[in-house]
Amino acid sequence: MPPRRREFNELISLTLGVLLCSCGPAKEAEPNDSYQQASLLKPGSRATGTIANPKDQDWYRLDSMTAGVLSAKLGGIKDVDFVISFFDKDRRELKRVDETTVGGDEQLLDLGVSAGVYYLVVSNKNEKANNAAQVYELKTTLDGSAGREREPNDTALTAQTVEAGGLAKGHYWPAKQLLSEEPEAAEEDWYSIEVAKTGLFLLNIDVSEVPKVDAILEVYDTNGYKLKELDAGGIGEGESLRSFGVRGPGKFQLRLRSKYKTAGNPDVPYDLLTELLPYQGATEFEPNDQRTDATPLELDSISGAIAPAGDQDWYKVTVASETKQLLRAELSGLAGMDLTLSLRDGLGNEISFIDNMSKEQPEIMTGWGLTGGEYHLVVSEKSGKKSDSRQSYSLARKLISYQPGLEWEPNNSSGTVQALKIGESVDGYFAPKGDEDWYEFNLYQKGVVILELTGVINAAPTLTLFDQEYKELAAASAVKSGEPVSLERELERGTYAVRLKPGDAAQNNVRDKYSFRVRAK
Amino acid sequence: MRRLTLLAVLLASACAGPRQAEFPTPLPPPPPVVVIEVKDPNFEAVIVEAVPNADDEGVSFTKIFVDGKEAGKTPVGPRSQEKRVRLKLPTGNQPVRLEHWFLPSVGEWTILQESLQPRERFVRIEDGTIARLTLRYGPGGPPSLSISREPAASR
Repeated sequence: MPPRRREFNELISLTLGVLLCSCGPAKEAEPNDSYQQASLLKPGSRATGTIANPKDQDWYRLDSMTAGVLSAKLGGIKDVDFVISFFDKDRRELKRVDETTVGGDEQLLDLGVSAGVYYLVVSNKNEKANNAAQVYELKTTLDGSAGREREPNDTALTAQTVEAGGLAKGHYWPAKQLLSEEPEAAEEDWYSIEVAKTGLFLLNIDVSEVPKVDAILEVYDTNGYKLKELDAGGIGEGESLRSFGVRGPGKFQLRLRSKYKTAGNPDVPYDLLTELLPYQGATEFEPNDQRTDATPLELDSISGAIAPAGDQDWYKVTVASETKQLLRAELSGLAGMDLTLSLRDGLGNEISFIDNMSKEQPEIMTGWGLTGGEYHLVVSEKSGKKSDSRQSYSLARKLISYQPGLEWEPNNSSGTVQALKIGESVDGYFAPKGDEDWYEFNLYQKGVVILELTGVINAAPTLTLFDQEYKELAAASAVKSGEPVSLERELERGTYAVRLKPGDAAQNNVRDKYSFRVRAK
Repeated sequence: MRRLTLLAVLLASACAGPRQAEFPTPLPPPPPVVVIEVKDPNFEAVIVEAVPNADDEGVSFTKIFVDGKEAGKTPVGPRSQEKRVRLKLPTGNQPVRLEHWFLPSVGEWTILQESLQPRERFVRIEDGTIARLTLRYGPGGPPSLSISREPAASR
């Protein structure tokens, strides 16, 4: 072999040897039982060691040159029940993991580090451990911190700040929070979101699904008051908070945890995705679950979602004009849900409940008479058990100036009867379900009066005539659905009331109006 | 001893004065329902107004028209106070109309707008009974009107 070639081969062998040496795990240098004696371990590298006796502690010192996210995995060995701890330079314990028993691996994940000194401590919990010969391996990795959870973030005080509009990838791990004062405390991850600008915003939060974990997401204000708790998904499902209204400037905290204390997942991370949008009045402003938090409905329509199960969405309708108005509201259907609509007065008392249609069908409030003041529309799901933040309903409202000749709800009883003059007619709806409409007229001289009601699809109404003290005088019914009804009667001078009512309370029609006329012969 | 006296004086002065401002005199009880009585009445008008906000409180009264002619009126009183008037009307089936008036914060007595006035209706007036016409104003919308009857001797 020529000398040059030999020299080249020697150089290559040396380089490879050096490289191989540097890539291999660092062996612990006993004694390393305290921080002063800690073995050096480069973040991102491996170390091997042994548990010489049950009380042996192996300290490793990590000198981090940059900020990042450190993870450590400790391979289990026979007879040893590992505990692994993470300390800062002042030997403050930041995190401790003990998720497995004798022979099991332990993992520390998502440890936030900045440039500086940290310590990893490997210890054993099994007092009877007797395996000084078997070598364990401690493997560390160091990744960039962008978009990552940075432990410890287990309390509101140590909440990790995340930018609205950003992503944080983390783990429901460990399952137990061993450094908590509570002995049975479970792991939780706290995040803090700051809304710097002034104004109203909508916060959307999505937490991705993680196998074996049933996530719970909570939102807190700066005073520690819980604003929202979300637990719509089950095990292995994500959570989604939509259109959560926040006022800026302000700070909000998110608490993410596994519902079941023993359930965690070190292998699959969650993605926490946040989005902050300026509020423009086109969507609900959660929380709007009660009258005092009602979202103002100022545009012609607004969208919202039913989530979590049992969600009630309150909308405030302000009628500025003191003149008579009719409020019409249309609520779109949602897949798999039966939505209901409720009209309430300024104090939250129910005025009308709309549940005409069944699952996945729209609900319509045909027209309710109002004068100036505040009213509320409340959207909810009938069973109270369904939710879906991914689909939105639309609630449209219209205020129409009242004109003579239109029905004025409520006219459902003799107390709220609507006045009508002889010769006049009125157009109205048999809606919502169970509706009945009362009209009253005065007859100033004895004569024959004819009452005429046009037919409406899906309703076979009965027309009943009462005297002024509400004693029934006569009645007539439509032969079948859609047929007209009329009644002719000679009457004395006086006040008379007429009740129009579908033959079956379930019959209603939000699309077609009836026309009712009173005339004298 | 002198110190104790001084302390007592200081305590007494601290307890005085401002307390009265902190605990204002309680509001007087609402005035009793005023009923205008006539001999042997056969008709009674009862007016009830719901006033949800104290800011909306004011004074009001109601005129009673029978067959187009004014037959009486309720006393003037706070809106939230129930008002009653008893009248002796001619017997028979009479068209009765109530007309509601209020005093705005500025200006003269004003008649309530037509759309919020109760409808005219016939009331059968009989001696020996009192026909009671009750007008109720709720929050928003036209008022409700109901009729009931009781023996004249019952009151």
